[in-house]
Amino acid sequence: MPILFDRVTGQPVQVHEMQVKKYRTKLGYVDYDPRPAPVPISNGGDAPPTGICKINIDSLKDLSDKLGLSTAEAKALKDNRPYTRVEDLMAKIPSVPWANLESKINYEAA
Amino acid sequence: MAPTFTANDSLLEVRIAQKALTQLNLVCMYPKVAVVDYEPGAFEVGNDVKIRRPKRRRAISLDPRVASGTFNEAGFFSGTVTLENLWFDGWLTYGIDPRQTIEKYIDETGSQMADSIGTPNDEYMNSLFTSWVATTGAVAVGANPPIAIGACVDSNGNLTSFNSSGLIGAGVAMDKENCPPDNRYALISPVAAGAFLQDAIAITGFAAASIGSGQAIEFGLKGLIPRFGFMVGMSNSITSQAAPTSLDTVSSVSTLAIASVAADTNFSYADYNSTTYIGAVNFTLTCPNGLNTNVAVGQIARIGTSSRATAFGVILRISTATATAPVITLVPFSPNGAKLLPNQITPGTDLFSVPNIGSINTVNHREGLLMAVRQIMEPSPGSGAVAASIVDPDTNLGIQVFRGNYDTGTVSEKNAYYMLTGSQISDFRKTALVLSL
Repeated sequence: MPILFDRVTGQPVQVHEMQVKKYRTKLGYVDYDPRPAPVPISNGGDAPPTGICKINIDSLKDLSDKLGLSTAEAKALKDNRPYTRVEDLMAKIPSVPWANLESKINYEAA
Repeated sequence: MAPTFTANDSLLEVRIAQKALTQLNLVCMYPKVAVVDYEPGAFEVGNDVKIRRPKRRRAISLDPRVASGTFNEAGFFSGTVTLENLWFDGWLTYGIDPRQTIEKYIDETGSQMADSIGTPNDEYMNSLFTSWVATTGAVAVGANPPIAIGACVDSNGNLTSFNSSGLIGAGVAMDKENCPPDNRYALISPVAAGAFLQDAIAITGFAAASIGSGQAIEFGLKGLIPRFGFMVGMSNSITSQAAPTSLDTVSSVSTLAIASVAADTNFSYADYNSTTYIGAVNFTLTCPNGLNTNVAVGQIARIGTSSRATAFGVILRISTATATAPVITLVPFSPNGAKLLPNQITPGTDLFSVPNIGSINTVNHREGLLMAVRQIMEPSPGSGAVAASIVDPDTNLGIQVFRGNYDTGTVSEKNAYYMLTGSQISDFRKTALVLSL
Protein backbone atom coordinates (compact mmCIF):
# COMPACT_ATOMS: atom_id res chain seq x y z
CA MET A 1 0.00 0.00 0.00
CA PRO A 2 1.32 3.49 -0.81
CA ILE A 3 2.52 5.89 1.85
CA LEU A 4 1.36 9.51 1.80
CA PHE A 5 2.37 12.36 4.07
CA ASP A 6 0.31 14.72 6.17
CA ARG A 7 0.83 18.14 4.61
CA VAL A 8 1.24 19.89 7.97
CA THR A 9 2.95 17.44 10.29
CA GLY A 10 4.70 15.34 7.67
CA GLN A 11 3.64 12.13 9.40
CA PRO A 12 3.71 9.24 6.94
CA VAL A 13 0.43 7.33 6.64
CA GLN A 14 -0.08 4.01 4.91
CA VAL A 15 -3.07 4.35 2.63
CA HIS A 16 -5.15 1.63 1.01
CA GLU A 17 -5.25 1.95 -2.79
CA MET A 18 -8.99 2.60 -2.66
CA GLN A 19 -8.43 5.60 -0.37
CA VAL A 20 -5.51 7.28 -2.15
CA LYS A 21 -7.66 9.70 -4.12
CA LYS A 22 -9.60 10.70 -1.02
CA TYR A 23 -6.43 11.28 1.01
CA ARG A 24 -4.92 13.43 -1.74
CA THR A 25 -7.93 15.52 -2.59
CA LYS A 26 -10.21 15.67 0.43
CA LEU A 27 -7.66 15.28 3.21
CA GLY A 28 -4.83 17.11 1.48
CA TYR A 29 -2.10 14.51 1.82
CA VAL A 30 0.98 14.79 -0.38
CA ASP A 31 3.33 12.26 -1.98
CA TYR A 32 6.51 13.63 -0.42
CA ASP A 33 7.69 14.42 3.08
CA PRO A 34 7.01 18.17 3.43
CA ARG A 35 9.32 18.53 6.41
CA PRO A 36 12.69 20.21 5.78
CA ALA A 37 15.60 17.85 5.39
CA PRO A 38 17.29 17.12 8.71
CA VAL A 39 20.27 19.32 9.55
CA PRO A 40 23.51 17.31 9.88
CA ILE A 41 24.67 16.91 13.43
CA SER A 42 27.19 19.65 14.33
CA ASN A 43 30.77 18.59 15.11
CA GLY A 44 31.25 20.53 18.32
CA GLY A 45 29.63 23.82 17.44
CA ASP A 46 31.91 24.90 14.61
CA ALA A 47 30.63 27.76 12.51
CA PRO A 48 29.31 26.74 9.11
CA PRO A 49 31.87 26.92 6.32
CA THR A 50 32.20 30.40 4.83
CA GLY A 51 34.23 29.52 1.79
CA ILE A 52 37.76 28.52 0.90
CA CYS A 53 40.49 30.73 2.32
CA LYS A 54 43.33 31.75 -0.03
CA ILE A 55 45.95 31.77 2.67
CA ASN A 56 48.57 33.73 0.66
CA ILE A 57 46.15 36.29 -0.82
CA ASP A 58 43.15 37.01 1.45
CA SER A 59 42.86 40.16 3.51
CA LEU A 60 43.20 40.24 7.24
CA LYS A 61 39.41 40.30 7.61
CA ASP A 62 38.91 37.31 5.28
CA LEU A 63 41.57 35.30 7.08
CA SER A 64 39.83 35.97 10.33
CA ASP A 65 36.29 35.32 9.05
CA LYS A 66 36.93 32.25 6.90
CA LEU A 67 39.16 30.42 9.36
CA GLY A 68 37.62 31.69 12.59
CA LEU A 69 40.91 33.17 13.79
CA SER A 70 41.49 35.97 16.27
CA THR A 71 42.82 39.26 14.97
CA ALA A 72 46.27 38.54 16.42
CA GLU A 73 46.37 35.08 14.80
CA ALA A 74 45.23 36.48 11.46
CA LYS A 75 47.91 39.19 11.62
CA ALA A 76 50.62 36.63 12.44
CA LEU A 77 49.36 34.52 9.57
CA LYS A 78 49.59 37.43 7.15
CA ASP A 79 53.04 38.49 8.39
CA ASN A 80 54.52 35.01 7.95
CA ARG A 81 53.49 34.44 4.31
CA PRO A 82 54.06 32.61 2.04
CA TYR A 83 52.82 29.09 2.77
CA THR A 84 52.88 26.10 0.45
CA ARG A 85 51.56 23.33 2.66
CA VAL A 86 49.91 22.77 6.04
CA GLU A 87 53.21 21.88 7.67
CA ASP A 88 54.38 25.48 7.02
CA LEU A 89 51.38 26.77 8.96
CA MET A 90 51.95 24.36 11.83
CA ALA A 91 55.56 25.40 12.11
CA LYS A 92 55.03 29.15 11.92
CA ILE A 93 51.82 29.52 13.96
CA PRO A 94 51.52 26.45 16.20
CA SER A 95 48.71 27.87 18.37
CA VAL A 96 46.05 27.27 15.65
CA PRO A 97 44.60 23.72 15.09
CA TRP A 98 45.53 23.63 11.40
CA ALA A 99 44.61 19.98 10.95
CA ASN A 100 40.95 20.89 11.46
CA LEU A 101 41.15 23.81 9.03
CA GLU A 102 43.09 22.09 6.26
CA SER A 103 40.05 21.45 4.10
CA LYS A 104 39.29 25.19 3.99
CA ILE A 105 42.71 26.35 2.80
CA ASN A 106 44.01 27.11 -0.68
CA TYR A 107 47.77 27.72 -1.15
CA GLU A 108 47.58 29.77 -4.35
CA ALA A 109 50.52 32.19 -4.53
CA ALA A 110 50.00 35.93 -4.46
CA MET B 1 -38.89 -10.32 0.84
CA ALA B 2 -38.69 -10.48 -2.94
CA PRO B 3 -38.33 -7.31 -4.99
CA THR B 4 -41.65 -5.90 -6.11
CA PHE B 5 -42.37 -6.48 -9.77
CA THR B 6 -44.15 -3.96 -11.89
CA ALA B 7 -45.53 -3.77 -15.40
CA ASN B 8 -42.18 -2.57 -16.67
CA ASP B 9 -40.31 -5.64 -15.44
CA SER B 10 -40.29 -7.20 -18.86
CA LEU B 11 -38.18 -4.37 -20.26
CA LEU B 12 -34.65 -5.40 -21.12
CA GLU B 13 -32.87 -2.92 -18.86
CA VAL B 14 -35.06 -3.89 -15.93
CA ARG B 15 -34.28 -7.56 -16.44
CA ILE B 16 -30.57 -6.78 -16.66
CA ALA B 17 -30.74 -4.71 -13.49
CA GLN B 18 -32.62 -7.45 -11.67
CA LYS B 19 -30.09 -10.04 -12.74
CA ALA B 20 -27.24 -7.76 -11.71
CA LEU B 21 -28.78 -7.07 -8.33
CA THR B 22 -29.33 -10.75 -7.67
CA GLN B 23 -25.74 -11.43 -8.54
CA LEU B 24 -24.55 -8.45 -6.53
CA ASN B 25 -26.21 -9.87 -3.45
CA LEU B 26 -24.21 -13.04 -3.95
CA VAL B 27 -20.80 -11.57 -4.65
CA CYS B 28 -20.67 -8.65 -2.20
CA MET B 29 -19.43 -9.81 1.18
CA TYR B 30 -19.02 -6.58 3.14
CA PRO B 31 -22.59 -5.35 2.58
CA LYS B 32 -23.69 -8.65 4.13
CA VAL B 33 -22.00 -7.72 7.39
CA ALA B 34 -22.98 -4.04 7.52
CA VAL B 35 -25.97 -2.05 8.65
CA VAL B 36 -27.67 -0.52 5.64
CA ASP B 37 -30.35 2.11 5.12
CA TYR B 38 -30.48 4.04 8.36
CA GLU B 39 -31.57 7.45 7.11
CA PRO B 40 -34.20 7.92 4.42
CA GLY B 41 -34.09 10.75 1.94
CA ALA B 42 -32.71 11.88 -1.39
CA PHE B 43 -28.98 12.15 -1.85
CA GLU B 44 -26.34 12.94 -4.44
CA VAL B 45 -22.63 12.28 -4.71
CA GLY B 46 -20.70 13.72 -1.79
CA ASN B 47 -23.72 14.11 0.48
CA ASP B 48 -23.40 13.05 4.09
CA VAL B 49 -25.74 10.62 5.76
CA LYS B 50 -25.86 11.26 9.49
CA ILE B 51 -25.10 8.82 12.27
CA ARG B 52 -26.20 9.68 15.78
CA ARG B 53 -26.25 7.41 18.79
CA PRO B 54 -26.33 7.97 22.54
CA LYS B 55 -23.06 7.83 24.40
CA ARG B 56 -22.62 4.96 26.77
CA ARG B 57 -23.78 5.50 30.33
CA ARG B 58 -23.22 3.40 33.38
CA ALA B 59 -25.40 3.17 36.48
CA ILE B 60 -23.88 3.48 39.93
CA SER B 61 -24.77 1.66 43.12
CA LEU B 62 -26.71 4.36 44.95
CA ASP B 63 -26.88 4.65 48.72
CA PRO B 64 -29.54 7.35 49.31
CA ARG B 65 -28.64 7.62 53.01
CA VAL B 66 -25.16 8.79 52.10
CA ALA B 67 -25.54 10.85 48.94
CA SER B 68 -28.02 11.50 46.20
CA GLY B 69 -27.48 10.46 42.62
CA THR B 70 -25.91 12.74 40.02
CA PHE B 71 -27.92 13.76 36.99
CA ASN B 72 -26.12 14.42 33.72
CA GLU B 73 -27.57 15.37 30.39
CA ALA B 74 -27.48 12.60 27.80
CA GLY B 75 -24.51 12.82 25.46
CA PHE B 76 -24.54 11.83 21.84
CA PHE B 77 -21.91 10.65 19.46
CA SER B 78 -22.38 12.06 15.96
CA GLY B 79 -20.84 11.06 12.69
CA THR B 80 -21.53 10.92 9.01
CA VAL B 81 -21.33 8.54 6.10
CA THR B 82 -20.33 10.31 2.92
CA LEU B 83 -21.75 8.99 -0.33
CA GLU B 84 -18.32 9.18 -1.87
CA ASN B 85 -18.52 6.50 -4.52
CA LEU B 86 -20.68 6.56 -7.61
CA TRP B 87 -19.64 3.24 -9.07
CA PHE B 88 -20.01 3.35 -12.81
CA ASP B 89 -19.26 1.17 -15.78
CA GLY B 90 -20.52 1.44 -19.29
CA TRP B 91 -20.38 -0.50 -22.48
CA LEU B 92 -21.50 -0.20 -26.07
CA THR B 93 -23.83 -2.64 -27.69
CA TYR B 94 -23.98 -2.93 -31.45
CA GLY B 95 -26.99 -3.78 -33.52
CA ILE B 96 -24.87 -6.18 -35.51
CA ASP B 97 -23.91 -8.23 -32.42
CA PRO B 98 -25.42 -11.69 -32.48
CA ARG B 99 -27.19 -11.76 -29.15
CA GLN B 100 -28.09 -15.43 -29.45
CA THR B 101 -30.92 -15.48 -26.97
CA ILE B 102 -32.12 -12.56 -24.91
CA GLU B 103 -32.00 -14.72 -21.79
CA LYS B 104 -28.32 -15.41 -22.26
CA TYR B 105 -27.62 -11.76 -22.93
CA ILE B 106 -29.36 -10.74 -19.72
CA ASP B 107 -27.62 -13.45 -17.75
CA GLU B 108 -24.12 -12.60 -18.95
CA THR B 109 -24.53 -8.85 -18.84
CA GLY B 110 -26.06 -8.86 -15.39
CA SER B 111 -23.22 -10.98 -14.01
CA GLN B 112 -20.59 -8.70 -15.52
CA MET B 113 -22.24 -5.68 -13.98
CA ALA B 114 -22.44 -7.27 -10.56
CA ASP B 115 -18.79 -8.26 -10.61
CA SER B 116 -17.79 -4.85 -11.93
CA ILE B 117 -19.48 -3.08 -9.03
CA GLY B 118 -19.15 -5.67 -6.30
CA THR B 119 -15.38 -6.04 -6.41
CA PRO B 120 -14.38 -2.39 -6.00
CA ASN B 121 -17.11 -1.83 -3.45
CA ASP B 122 -15.84 -4.69 -1.29
CA GLU B 123 -12.30 -3.38 -1.62
CA TYR B 124 -13.50 0.08 -0.63
CA MET B 125 -15.35 -1.21 2.42
CA ASN B 126 -12.34 -3.29 3.43
CA SER B 127 -10.11 -0.22 3.12
CA LEU B 128 -12.09 1.46 5.90
CA PHE B 129 -10.55 -0.99 8.37
CA THR B 130 -7.09 0.47 7.83
CA SER B 131 -7.82 4.12 7.04
CA TRP B 132 -6.10 5.99 9.85
CA VAL B 133 -5.09 9.60 9.43
CA ALA B 134 -2.22 11.52 10.99
CA THR B 135 -3.11 13.35 14.17
CA THR B 136 -1.58 15.59 16.78
CA GLY B 137 -2.73 16.50 20.27
CA ALA B 138 -5.82 15.02 21.89
CA VAL B 139 -7.93 12.66 19.80
CA ALA B 140 -11.38 11.28 20.63
CA VAL B 141 -11.57 7.86 19.00
CA GLY B 142 -15.04 6.84 17.87
CA ALA B 143 -15.90 6.30 14.21
CA ASN B 144 -12.42 5.03 13.52
CA PRO B 145 -10.83 1.86 12.19
CA PRO B 146 -10.17 -1.00 14.60
CA ILE B 147 -7.30 -1.07 17.05
CA ALA B 148 -8.09 -4.45 18.59
CA ILE B 149 -6.06 -7.34 17.25
CA GLY B 150 -6.12 -11.09 17.60
CA ALA B 151 -3.30 -12.99 15.99
CA CYS B 152 -2.65 -16.56 14.95
CA VAL B 153 0.88 -17.24 16.16
CA ASP B 154 2.98 -20.29 16.94
CA SER B 155 5.04 -20.87 20.06
CA ASN B 156 7.85 -18.73 18.62
CA GLY B 157 5.60 -15.79 17.97
CA ASN B 158 5.52 -16.26 14.21
CA LEU B 159 2.26 -15.82 12.33
CA THR B 160 0.60 -19.08 11.34
CA SER B 161 -2.28 -20.10 9.14
CA PHE B 162 -5.66 -18.85 10.29
CA ASN B 163 -6.98 -20.78 13.25
CA SER B 164 -9.50 -20.49 16.03
CA SER B 165 -7.11 -18.75 18.45
CA GLY B 166 -6.94 -15.59 16.35
CA LEU B 167 -10.70 -15.44 16.05
CA ILE B 168 -11.14 -16.06 19.75
CA GLY B 169 -8.59 -13.33 20.46
CA ALA B 170 -10.60 -10.83 18.44
CA GLY B 171 -13.71 -11.97 20.27
CA VAL B 172 -12.02 -11.42 23.63
CA ALA B 173 -11.01 -7.90 22.64
CA MET B 174 -14.58 -7.12 21.56
CA ASP B 175 -15.96 -8.63 24.77
CA LYS B 176 -13.77 -6.30 26.81
CA GLU B 177 -15.38 -3.37 25.00
CA ASN B 178 -18.87 -4.69 25.80
CA CYS B 179 -19.57 -5.34 22.14
CA PRO B 180 -22.84 -7.31 21.86
CA PRO B 181 -22.20 -11.02 21.37
CA ASP B 182 -24.68 -11.45 18.54
CA ASN B 183 -24.29 -10.37 14.92
CA ARG B 184 -20.52 -10.67 14.89
CA TYR B 185 -18.94 -11.34 11.52
CA ALA B 186 -15.47 -12.24 10.33
CA LEU B 187 -14.39 -11.88 6.73
CA ILE B 188 -11.19 -13.73 6.05
CA SER B 189 -8.95 -14.22 3.05
CA PRO B 190 -9.36 -17.25 0.79
CA VAL B 191 -6.06 -18.62 2.08
CA ALA B 192 -7.20 -18.16 5.66
CA ALA B 193 -10.60 -19.66 4.90
CA GLY B 194 -9.05 -22.70 3.31
CA ALA B 195 -6.80 -23.31 6.29
CA PHE B 196 -9.45 -22.59 8.89
CA LEU B 197 -12.45 -24.39 7.50
CA GLN B 198 -10.39 -27.37 6.47
CA ASP B 199 -9.63 -27.80 10.15
CA ALA B 200 -13.18 -27.19 11.23
CA ILE B 201 -15.06 -29.47 8.87
CA ALA B 202 -14.84 -33.01 10.15
CA ILE B 203 -14.88 -35.53 7.32
CA THR B 204 -14.01 -39.07 8.23
CA GLY B 205 -14.21 -42.58 6.86
CA PHE B 206 -16.08 -43.28 3.69
CA ALA B 207 -17.27 -39.71 3.29
CA ALA B 208 -13.74 -38.35 3.27
CA ALA B 209 -12.71 -40.77 0.58
CA SER B 210 -15.69 -40.22 -1.64
CA ILE B 211 -16.28 -36.51 -1.19
CA GLY B 212 -12.77 -35.22 -0.71
CA SER B 213 -11.84 -32.34 1.54
CA GLY B 214 -11.47 -29.97 -1.38
CA GLN B 215 -15.07 -30.34 -2.34
CA ALA B 216 -16.13 -30.01 1.27
CA ILE B 217 -14.26 -26.75 1.52
CA GLU B 218 -15.83 -25.54 -1.66
CA PHE B 219 -19.30 -26.17 -0.32
CA GLY B 220 -18.37 -24.92 3.12
CA LEU B 221 -17.13 -21.59 1.87
CA LYS B 222 -20.41 -20.56 0.37
CA GLY B 223 -22.14 -17.99 2.52
CA LEU B 224 -21.39 -17.33 6.15
CA ILE B 225 -20.54 -20.15 8.51
CA PRO B 226 -20.84 -19.94 12.31
CA ARG B 227 -17.53 -20.46 14.11
CA PHE B 228 -16.50 -19.43 17.63
CA GLY B 229 -19.09 -16.70 17.99
CA PHE B 230 -18.64 -15.28 14.51
CA MET B 231 -20.30 -15.76 11.17
CA VAL B 232 -17.25 -16.42 9.05
CA GLY B 233 -17.14 -15.59 5.37
CA MET B 234 -14.49 -15.30 2.71
CA SER B 235 -13.51 -12.20 0.79
CA ASN B 236 -11.00 -11.54 -1.95
CA SER B 237 -10.65 -7.99 -0.66
CA ILE B 238 -8.66 -8.90 2.44
CA THR B 239 -5.32 -7.09 2.39
CA SER B 240 -1.83 -7.99 3.48
CA GLN B 241 1.13 -6.02 4.79
CA ALA B 242 4.65 -5.98 3.42
CA ALA B 243 7.43 -5.21 5.85
CA PRO B 244 9.36 -2.00 5.06
CA THR B 245 12.79 -2.60 3.59
CA SER B 246 14.34 -0.86 6.57
CA LEU B 247 13.16 0.91 9.70
CA ASP B 248 16.30 3.04 9.66
CA THR B 249 17.29 5.73 7.16
CA VAL B 250 20.87 4.54 6.68
CA SER B 251 21.43 0.93 7.52
CA SER B 252 19.07 -1.93 6.77
CA VAL B 253 17.43 -2.95 10.03
CA SER B 254 14.23 -4.87 10.59
CA THR B 255 13.91 -4.30 14.33
CA LEU B 256 14.48 -1.33 16.59
CA ALA B 257 15.21 -1.40 20.30
CA ILE B 258 12.62 0.06 22.65
CA ALA B 259 14.25 2.56 24.98
CA SER B 260 11.21 3.23 27.13
CA VAL B 261 7.43 2.96 27.25
CA ALA B 262 4.85 5.26 28.79
CA ALA B 263 1.07 5.44 28.93
CA ASP B 264 -0.39 7.82 26.35
CA THR B 265 -2.83 10.53 27.41
CA ASN B 266 -3.85 11.81 24.00
CA PHE B 267 -6.10 9.08 22.64
CA SER B 268 -9.39 8.72 24.50
CA TYR B 269 -12.81 7.19 23.88
CA ALA B 270 -15.22 9.50 22.09
CA ASP B 271 -18.04 7.51 23.60
CA TYR B 272 -17.64 8.31 27.26
CA ASN B 273 -18.80 11.44 29.00
CA SER B 274 -15.67 11.53 31.14
CA THR B 275 -12.17 11.25 29.71
CA THR B 276 -11.25 7.60 29.42
CA TYR B 277 -8.07 6.68 27.62
CA ILE B 278 -8.11 3.89 25.09
CA GLY B 279 -4.92 2.41 26.49
CA ALA B 280 -2.40 3.63 23.94
CA VAL B 281 1.27 3.35 24.81
CA ASN B 282 4.09 5.59 23.64
CA PHE B 283 7.12 3.58 22.58
CA THR B 284 10.35 5.57 22.48
CA LEU B 285 12.65 3.77 20.08
CA THR B 286 16.40 3.82 19.67
CA CYS B 287 17.10 4.79 16.07
CA PRO B 288 20.61 6.30 15.65
CA ASN B 289 20.09 7.36 12.03
CA GLY B 290 16.47 8.46 12.27
CA LEU B 291 13.24 6.60 11.50
CA ASN B 292 12.62 5.74 7.87
CA THR B 293 9.52 7.36 6.42
CA ASN B 294 8.33 3.97 5.23
CA VAL B 295 7.22 3.36 8.80
CA ALA B 296 3.76 4.87 8.71
CA VAL B 297 0.58 5.48 10.63
CA GLY B 298 -1.89 2.67 9.99
CA GLN B 299 0.71 -0.07 9.75
CA ILE B 300 0.58 -2.95 12.16
CA ALA B 301 3.64 -3.22 14.38
CA ARG B 302 4.93 -6.22 16.27
CA ILE B 303 6.38 -5.93 19.75
CA GLY B 304 8.40 -8.90 20.92
CA THR B 305 11.50 -10.98 20.45
CA SER B 306 12.53 -13.52 17.86
CA SER B 307 10.98 -16.23 20.02
CA ARG B 308 7.89 -14.49 21.38
CA ALA B 309 5.23 -12.09 20.08
CA THR B 310 4.37 -9.93 23.06
CA ALA B 311 1.92 -7.73 21.21
CA PHE B 312 0.67 -6.35 17.95
CA GLY B 313 -0.73 -2.89 17.47
CA VAL B 314 -1.88 -0.42 14.85
CA ILE B 315 0.45 2.59 14.67
CA LEU B 316 -1.65 5.62 15.58
CA ARG B 317 1.00 8.33 15.67
CA ILE B 318 4.66 8.86 14.88
CA SER B 319 6.61 11.66 16.50
CA THR B 320 10.10 12.35 15.22
CA ALA B 321 10.72 15.51 17.22
CA THR B 322 13.90 13.82 18.41
CA ALA B 323 15.15 12.15 15.26
CA THR B 324 17.24 9.51 17.00
CA ALA B 325 14.49 8.69 19.51
CA PRO B 326 11.21 8.57 17.59
CA VAL B 327 8.04 7.93 19.56
CA ILE B 328 5.49 5.48 18.16
CA THR B 329 2.01 5.41 19.65
CA LEU B 330 -0.07 2.26 19.47
CA VAL B 331 -2.41 0.17 21.59
CA PRO B 332 -0.63 -3.14 22.22
CA PHE B 333 -2.75 -6.27 22.05
CA SER B 334 -1.32 -9.66 22.88
CA PRO B 335 -2.14 -12.34 20.28
CA ASN B 336 -4.95 -13.62 22.50
CA GLY B 337 -6.73 -10.26 22.36
CA ALA B 338 -5.74 -8.87 25.76
CA LYS B 339 -4.88 -5.18 25.85
CA LEU B 340 -1.47 -4.77 27.45
CA LEU B 341 -0.35 -2.12 29.91
CA PRO B 342 3.00 -0.33 29.59
CA ASN B 343 4.50 -2.39 32.40
CA GLN B 344 3.80 -5.56 30.42
CA ILE B 345 6.27 -4.43 27.75
CA THR B 346 9.96 -4.95 28.51
CA PRO B 347 12.20 -2.25 27.03
CA GLY B 348 15.60 -3.64 26.21
CA THR B 349 14.17 -7.09 25.58
CA ASP B 350 11.10 -6.52 23.44
CA LEU B 351 11.87 -5.10 20.01
CA PHE B 352 9.79 -3.02 17.62
CA SER B 353 9.21 -4.18 14.07
CA VAL B 354 6.72 -3.88 11.21
CA PRO B 355 6.23 -7.46 10.05
CA ASN B 356 5.04 -9.16 6.90
CA ILE B 357 1.41 -10.16 7.39
CA GLY B 358 -0.22 -12.47 4.89
CA SER B 359 -3.84 -11.75 5.75
CA ILE B 360 -5.26 -8.84 7.72
CA ASN B 361 -8.67 -10.39 8.26
CA THR B 362 -11.47 -8.17 9.50
CA VAL B 363 -14.01 -8.70 12.24
CA ASN B 364 -16.97 -6.54 13.02
CA HIS B 365 -20.29 -6.38 14.76
CA ARG B 366 -22.94 -5.51 12.22
CA GLU B 367 -23.55 -2.15 13.87
CA GLY B 368 -19.86 -1.33 13.57
CA LEU B 369 -19.96 -1.00 9.80
CA LEU B 370 -22.46 1.24 8.08
CA MET B 371 -23.30 1.33 4.42
CA ALA B 372 -25.56 3.73 2.59
CA VAL B 373 -26.83 3.16 -0.94
CA ARG B 374 -28.85 5.82 -2.67
CA GLN B 375 -30.13 6.36 -6.19
CA ILE B 376 -29.22 9.12 -8.60
CA MET B 377 -31.85 10.88 -10.68
CA GLU B 378 -33.03 8.93 -13.69
CA PRO B 379 -32.95 10.45 -17.20
CA SER B 380 -35.98 12.63 -17.74
CA PRO B 381 -38.72 11.68 -20.22
CA GLY B 382 -37.83 12.83 -23.70
CA SER B 383 -34.07 12.62 -23.09
CA GLY B 384 -33.83 9.63 -25.35
CA ALA B 385 -32.67 7.28 -22.60
CA VAL B 386 -34.50 4.57 -20.73
CA ALA B 387 -33.69 3.62 -17.17
CA ALA B 388 -34.25 0.94 -14.59
CA SER B 389 -33.56 1.50 -10.90
CA ILE B 390 -34.15 -1.31 -8.46
CA VAL B 391 -33.34 -1.84 -4.81
CA ASP B 392 -33.22 -5.06 -2.86
CA PRO B 393 -35.55 -4.56 0.11
CA ASP B 394 -33.52 -6.88 2.34
CA THR B 395 -29.96 -5.67 1.80
CA ASN B 396 -30.85 -2.24 0.41
CA LEU B 397 -28.32 -2.73 -2.34
CA GLY B 398 -29.45 -0.89 -5.42
CA ILE B 399 -28.43 -0.71 -9.02
CA GLN B 400 -29.44 1.58 -11.85
CA VAL B 401 -29.20 0.84 -15.58
CA PHE B 402 -29.47 3.66 -18.11
CA ARG B 403 -29.53 2.95 -21.86
CA GLY B 404 -29.72 5.31 -24.80
CA ASN B 405 -27.88 7.66 -27.20
CA TYR B 406 -28.28 5.45 -30.26
CA ASP B 407 -25.62 6.14 -32.93
CA THR B 408 -27.01 5.38 -36.38
CA GLY B 409 -23.52 5.59 -37.91
CA THR B 410 -22.20 2.67 -35.90
CA VAL B 411 -25.55 1.11 -35.07
CA SER B 412 -24.59 1.19 -31.41
CA GLU B 413 -25.96 2.49 -28.16
CA LYS B 414 -24.54 3.19 -24.72
CA ASN B 415 -25.37 1.16 -21.67
CA ALA B 416 -24.39 2.48 -18.26
CA TYR B 417 -24.95 1.24 -14.75
CA TYR B 418 -24.46 2.97 -11.44
CA MET B 419 -24.45 2.45 -7.70
CA LEU B 420 -24.12 5.49 -5.41
CA THR B 421 -22.76 4.38 -2.10
CA GLY B 422 -20.66 5.23 0.92
CA SER B 423 -19.53 3.37 4.00
CA GLN B 424 -18.20 4.20 7.42
CA ILE B 425 -17.04 2.39 10.50
CA SER B 426 -19.35 3.65 13.22
CA ASP B 427 -17.52 2.42 16.31
CA PHE B 428 -13.99 1.09 16.55
CA ARG B 429 -14.98 -0.96 19.61
CA LYS B 430 -17.19 -3.11 17.43
CA THR B 431 -14.41 -3.99 15.04
CA ALA B 432 -11.12 -5.89 15.17
CA LEU B 433 -8.41 -7.41 13.02
CA VAL B 434 -7.17 -10.97 12.95
CA LEU B 435 -3.65 -11.50 11.67
CA SER B 436 -2.61 -14.72 9.97
CA LEU B 437 -0.61 -16.08 7.08
